[in-house]
Amino acid sequence: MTDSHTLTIDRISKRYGDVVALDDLSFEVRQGEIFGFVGSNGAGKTTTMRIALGVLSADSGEVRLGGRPVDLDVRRTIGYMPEERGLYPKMKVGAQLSYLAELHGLSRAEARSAVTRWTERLGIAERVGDTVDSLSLGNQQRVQLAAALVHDPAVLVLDEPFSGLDPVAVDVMSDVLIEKARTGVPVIFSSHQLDLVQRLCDRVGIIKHGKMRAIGTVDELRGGESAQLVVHAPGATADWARHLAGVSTVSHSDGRTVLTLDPGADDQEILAAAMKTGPVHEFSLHRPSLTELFREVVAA
Amino acid sequence: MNTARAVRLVARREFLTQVRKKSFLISNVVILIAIVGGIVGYSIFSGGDDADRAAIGLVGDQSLSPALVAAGEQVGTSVEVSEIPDEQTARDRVGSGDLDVALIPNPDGSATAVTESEIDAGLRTVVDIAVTGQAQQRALTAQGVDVEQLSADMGAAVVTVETIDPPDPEEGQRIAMSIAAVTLLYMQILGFGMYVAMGVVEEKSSRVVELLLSTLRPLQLLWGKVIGIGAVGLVQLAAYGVAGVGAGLATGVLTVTGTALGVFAGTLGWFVLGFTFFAVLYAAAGSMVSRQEDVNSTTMPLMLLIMAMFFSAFSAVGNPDGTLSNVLSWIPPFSAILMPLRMAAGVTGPVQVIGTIALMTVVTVALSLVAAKIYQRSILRVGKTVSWREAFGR
Repeated sequence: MTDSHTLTIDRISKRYGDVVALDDLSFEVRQGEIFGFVGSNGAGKTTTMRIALGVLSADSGEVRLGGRPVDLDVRRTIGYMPEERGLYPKMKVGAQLSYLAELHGLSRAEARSAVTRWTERLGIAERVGDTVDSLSLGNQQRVQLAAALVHDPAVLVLDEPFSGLDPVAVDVMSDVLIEKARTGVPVIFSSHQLDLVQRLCDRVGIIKHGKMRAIGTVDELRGGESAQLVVHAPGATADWARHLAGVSTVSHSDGRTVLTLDPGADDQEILAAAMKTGPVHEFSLHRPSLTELFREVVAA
Repeated sequence: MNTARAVRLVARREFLTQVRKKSFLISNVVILIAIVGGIVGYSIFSGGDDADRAAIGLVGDQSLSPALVAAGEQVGTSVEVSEIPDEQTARDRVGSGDLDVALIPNPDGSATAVTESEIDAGLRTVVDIAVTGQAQQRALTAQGVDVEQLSADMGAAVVTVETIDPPDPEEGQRIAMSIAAVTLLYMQILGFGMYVAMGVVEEKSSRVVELLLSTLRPLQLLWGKVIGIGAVGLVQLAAYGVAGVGAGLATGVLTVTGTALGVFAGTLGWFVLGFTFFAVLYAAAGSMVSRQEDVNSTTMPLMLLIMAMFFSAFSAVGNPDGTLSNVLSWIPPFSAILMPLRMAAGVTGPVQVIGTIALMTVVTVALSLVAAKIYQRSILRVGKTVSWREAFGR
């Protein structure tokens, strides 16, 4: 696969009356990349995805796949999992998936074999003859994922794919996303499970009030933050680290001190200074998690 | 993927979903059996002349028998005369309902008619004519009149009836076919229109529509649904028609083969037009609500319109060529139900048939554009029910 499979969101805006849902939003999901799309409720994630799928129309801006504006033919190559899960409740799983595959352009025979393949992969093969509403919620989610995958999509757009899944299903889902990305498919999904996003995603975008506030790898997002060092030395006084070059004290309580280090500060010198105050029970470098970064961005 | 394939895929799903329902299959088998059974039953109970013949028992002298049969033919009340050995047997058989009347001739030429409670007026006339006729004949013979010559002379004095506007011998069959066509069209349009609305709401309330609309244009989904469900309605109507007309012709209840086939074809054709007219409106009505429970609020006006059509058609059955029926049959959608009726009644011509079809088609196309717009605008709007006023106003 070539670069022709980069999904580009180019300056899209959307208003609902006076409410600005998306404000000149731009970003890219590159081929073979898993992109985590995070933001508070109402930040504009679902609106962005709906616009990408043509379910909603943007007031301005454009969505392109490999430079080509996304029209109905391109859209049929996208695997989509809407936030509002939706399947025909009274239709049998197999018939339903086969129908959706055909709507995406597969022949009937191709659709049938794809349904077999994906229902086996997702552990719902024995339920193909059952109606959707007779399945547990977790299995309905798996059917919904199968619906997004059954036509061998060139792009995956998944709105909250992990919500409501049990841990086993989360693992299956994660494996599928990684596997699809390895074949060069750009994958974008939204989630509130930030530890999962941090673990799975190559890059992350944090959206707030319809604008992308931070975007990049988790490491890049941490870029602005200097590393923090946590030292637990019960015998130390509040100002034990004050004389050290390139080090400033963030907090000190109960013998636990949090320090920020300028680039180039010598951590061994700090450890030596700490040991002079007495026993040291903990000496650890703390890197902010995505959750902390997210809180910071959203609070800003 | 082109539009034709997209619409075909949607239509196929709608068709299969509908015809695979157990309730659908069972109810259709029951209705088909009822149609054929009803017609066969009707032919058995109304067709045989024996049931109509009045049974007269004649006690003793049987010379009155030919006079009774002749009088029956003359009056139009055919009778069957049987010989009864004695008076007591005659009374018993009247009592058991075996005989309508037992006639006991007296030696003086008078006769006693024994019946259960009262004697039918026609039968009374038959008996009177026979008895007085026999008495008259005897009297004339006694006076030396040549009775045979007399009846030959009188035979020429016959009144021939000439009608200016003869009654249509097919009228009964035409009325029956009109009522059948009107009733079926009413049920099919109302029922399958409602299926369209419910199908649209099902997709909307289950949110599957969002997935569908990421691969289909709203109009492809709309027309696929209308065509798929309409095809089920058409097949069902054709099955009823084949069963009804077939059973009617086979049993001899229907004798007007050409008219029956014309009405059958006309009903199918007008179903297509009438259904399409309402189906697009029903789809719009379905798209305007978010929950199944609310669908009645937006389909109510459509149901009222269909019922108005039905009642206007029923009032026209007795007078299919009246002014009201003539005027309404030009107005869509009333034409959809009145034209098959007028065709069954044989009171329309090719100009009106072609004219009304053209008018109905034009109006249906125009309406489908408006309804499709409403559908397109409402199908993803979840929440409050959109009213018709709002839907047309936007």
